[in-house]
Amino acid sequence: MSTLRVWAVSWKNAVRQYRLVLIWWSGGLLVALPLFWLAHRVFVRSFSYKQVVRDWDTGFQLTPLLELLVNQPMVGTAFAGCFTVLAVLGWLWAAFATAGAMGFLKYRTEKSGPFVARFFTYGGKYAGRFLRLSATLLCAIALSLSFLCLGPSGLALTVPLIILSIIVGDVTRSALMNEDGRSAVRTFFRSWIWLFRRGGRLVFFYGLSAAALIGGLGLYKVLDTEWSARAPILLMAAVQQMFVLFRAAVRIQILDGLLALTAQPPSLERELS
Amino acid sequence: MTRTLLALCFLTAVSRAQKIFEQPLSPRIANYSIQAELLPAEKAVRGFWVLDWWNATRDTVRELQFHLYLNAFKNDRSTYMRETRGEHRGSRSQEGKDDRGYVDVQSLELADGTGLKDRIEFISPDDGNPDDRTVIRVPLPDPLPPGSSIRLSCRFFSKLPRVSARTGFTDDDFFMIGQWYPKIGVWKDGQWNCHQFHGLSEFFADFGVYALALTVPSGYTVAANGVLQSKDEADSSVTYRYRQEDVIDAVWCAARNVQTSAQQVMIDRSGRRIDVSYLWAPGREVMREHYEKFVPWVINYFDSLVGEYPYPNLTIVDVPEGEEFTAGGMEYPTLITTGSYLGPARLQELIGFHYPEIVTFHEFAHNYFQAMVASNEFEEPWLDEGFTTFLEHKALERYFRGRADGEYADLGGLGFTSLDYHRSSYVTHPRDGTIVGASWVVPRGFFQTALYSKPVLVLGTLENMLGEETMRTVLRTYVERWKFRHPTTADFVQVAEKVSGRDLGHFFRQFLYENKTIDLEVVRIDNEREGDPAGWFGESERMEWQQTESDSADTSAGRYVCNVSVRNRGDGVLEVPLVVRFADGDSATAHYDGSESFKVYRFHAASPVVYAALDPARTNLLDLSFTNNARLKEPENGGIWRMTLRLLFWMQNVFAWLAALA
Repeated sequence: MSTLRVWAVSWKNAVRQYRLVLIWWSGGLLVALPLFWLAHRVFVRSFSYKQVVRDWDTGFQLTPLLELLVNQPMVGTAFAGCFTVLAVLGWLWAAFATAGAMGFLKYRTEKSGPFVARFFTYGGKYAGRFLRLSATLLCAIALSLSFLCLGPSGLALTVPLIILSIIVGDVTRSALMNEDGRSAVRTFFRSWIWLFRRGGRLVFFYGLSAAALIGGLGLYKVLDTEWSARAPILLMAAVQQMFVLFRAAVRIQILDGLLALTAQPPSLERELS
Repeated sequence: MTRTLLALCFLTAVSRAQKIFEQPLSPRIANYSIQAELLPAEKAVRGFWVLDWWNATRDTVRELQFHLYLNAFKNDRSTYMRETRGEHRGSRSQEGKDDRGYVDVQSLELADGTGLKDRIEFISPDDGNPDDRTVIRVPLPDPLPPGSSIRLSCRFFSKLPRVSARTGFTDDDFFMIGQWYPKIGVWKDGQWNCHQFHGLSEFFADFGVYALALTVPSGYTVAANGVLQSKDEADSSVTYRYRQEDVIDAVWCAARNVQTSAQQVMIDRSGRRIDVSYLWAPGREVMREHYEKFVPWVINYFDSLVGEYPYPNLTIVDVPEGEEFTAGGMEYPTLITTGSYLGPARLQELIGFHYPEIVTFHEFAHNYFQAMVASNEFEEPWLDEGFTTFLEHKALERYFRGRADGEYADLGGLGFTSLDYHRSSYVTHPRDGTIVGASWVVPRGFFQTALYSKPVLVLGTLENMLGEETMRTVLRTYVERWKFRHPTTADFVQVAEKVSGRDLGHFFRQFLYENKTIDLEVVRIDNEREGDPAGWFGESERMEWQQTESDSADTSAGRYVCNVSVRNRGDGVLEVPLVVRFADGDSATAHYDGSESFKVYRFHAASPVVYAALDPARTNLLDLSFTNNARLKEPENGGIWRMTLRLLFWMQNVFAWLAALA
């Protein structure tokens, strides 16, 4: 099957598996909600009697936020603390949700229980491995970021390395599921080799998905720029959430296509032999 | 004697050079003819100059003083190194044998051949550091009477440091050659004004004519701050001859594998033409189209804002990648160094960072403030950096006017403007020091605020007080009156007061010489219904009982007493309007100058106050917080919902990226 066809089919599957998309979207929303609540409380307490609420109604200015951070340093500390905790929780949830989604997508033809049960079963089974993989991936990204010290030319090295690391991370996830392997770190390094030898189609597939994501972002930016200051608040929020939902759909679509394009797990072993 | 003859031959050769200005623009106190040869293998320049210095004062001068700026990089005991600990703009000076820089005076003679080298004495007028070698004094055999001039010749060897603090070499055969020759100080107020090279100071010099003969090996491209007169090619070298008149310094750049381009810029106001030359470090020529859009614009803008740029040329050096803060971002008369930073223009536009515009506007503005209006950068650094940053700020505001992404950067849809940048710098350090002060006593962490950001806010506030047109006249008059001279802060204050016709002493004293702050706040709004009179009124037989008929919400005229409480949380004084709006759409204005730390304004009106704002137009840019300047009687949360929903959206996206890793 051609890569383009895989890409199209993966979109079809993503739409069919709308429940996974909704889980992905709602998970992100739930993780971000405490920060939203904190910000809302702080802003209401600090600004609701101030001119800034009118300024923000028609446009966006950073100055009040900067002044808030200067005049109430605890606000910055509270946000940083809250963000850190949520980032960790989000990370744990994402590992679980990725495992659940991939498991469901991979074994969806096996009618072995209700959707939620299967999602949680696969999530529980693979989340630990995915977390170990994720830690490895973070190390690889930190290493890539270190090239930034070379100056702007380092950026040219860092960006592709991070993108490739993310793709390799996905390949590793697929391999871990296909092989039912437990060594996330070892599989991660083998996946680099696989990607360089046989990953041309996969990179093209990711390029197509990235283009779709950028297209969606462009559409969102146009709507946001044209409407954000005038549209009713609910409409603005709806546009924003539509983009986040689209983003979630892209992720599910990527996972589905990834499974199709890396459906031969032993190939990783063979690459080394 | 032979050397003197050689010097005269050299002088004869360079004096044939074509004049640039028919009439001198400046007093031409210090005039140099410099012959220099780049020695790439040694990372050095071998030079020889002939200096004609004119004693234009009424004093008899008994000694000369010279700057040997490159000696700041000679060892770790120099005042520069001690003050900076070897770090400048985030870049550390290297400490290897070849990384150090120095200038060695090999000979110093009068025109008659009298040697002065043995008379040289190193001095440290600012801090007494016996190890600092950046200033020398040379007692003269015969005193120099008022109105007379002296001719000296000097041979020197300038070892360039690895590029740091805007001078030196890179590993890619790029040589930025600034502060490279023994340079005479300024005789001012009966003494030499010749400061040591400090960590955060720049320079001070007299105007003159510079004739340069710069020899480089074949294959090197040269850019200098002069008009190219000739280019003579020999077997293995090329000599470039430049001349520049009425400038305070000579600088040049020599590099291999670089590109050059030229652009003619027409000044709309006068029809004059300025030749702009660009030198592009490897890979930077992709920026050419981008620069060619905003450089003509800014030349014309400053011409209309502060006056004529009189020189026929401007050279812009876009320095190599990674050297944006070591060689880039420096001003010299008619030559500026910039840095494209973060690669091509499209990438910068994508992330919304306008670094090339920011740095070019700033450095070109220096061609007015310091290069022409030659204030003392050692003693009053704000006079050039402050005015320059103010011009840069105005240019950014004008150039990017109407664009949603601000002037500095676009942070995910939130424009970060030039004003945001300077205010955020100021409000975090409002009391750390004063603007006026010598560069070496400004607290290290306050340097950016004192010299760059706070002056923008002071001059911006002054502009709002006087009006844009008056401020323009102030700037133009200041430039016109003080160009090719050495003004002080007091001179600027005098010009501002004279042009505006206002006593601005109190304003400048608070914000230039002292660190007074202002933070105005509308504390509360209290509306009280003023009912019909009730009770006994009058005396004796005329005493009458009156009773309020009803408690209905009558809003007829004069039925409300509205108290608006304001306060100044700072100690500065500056009058601003207090604007109140009433429920019926009416408004009233009072004035509050902050001299009383707390004040209640009472308004009798037909309807209650729904909104009160101090300085609603935000004319006082020095106000530490704009957020508390205005208050609504009733809370409104629409804007907060919009902002928090936007934050939620950002957070979801951030977590989505994190999720891709998990």
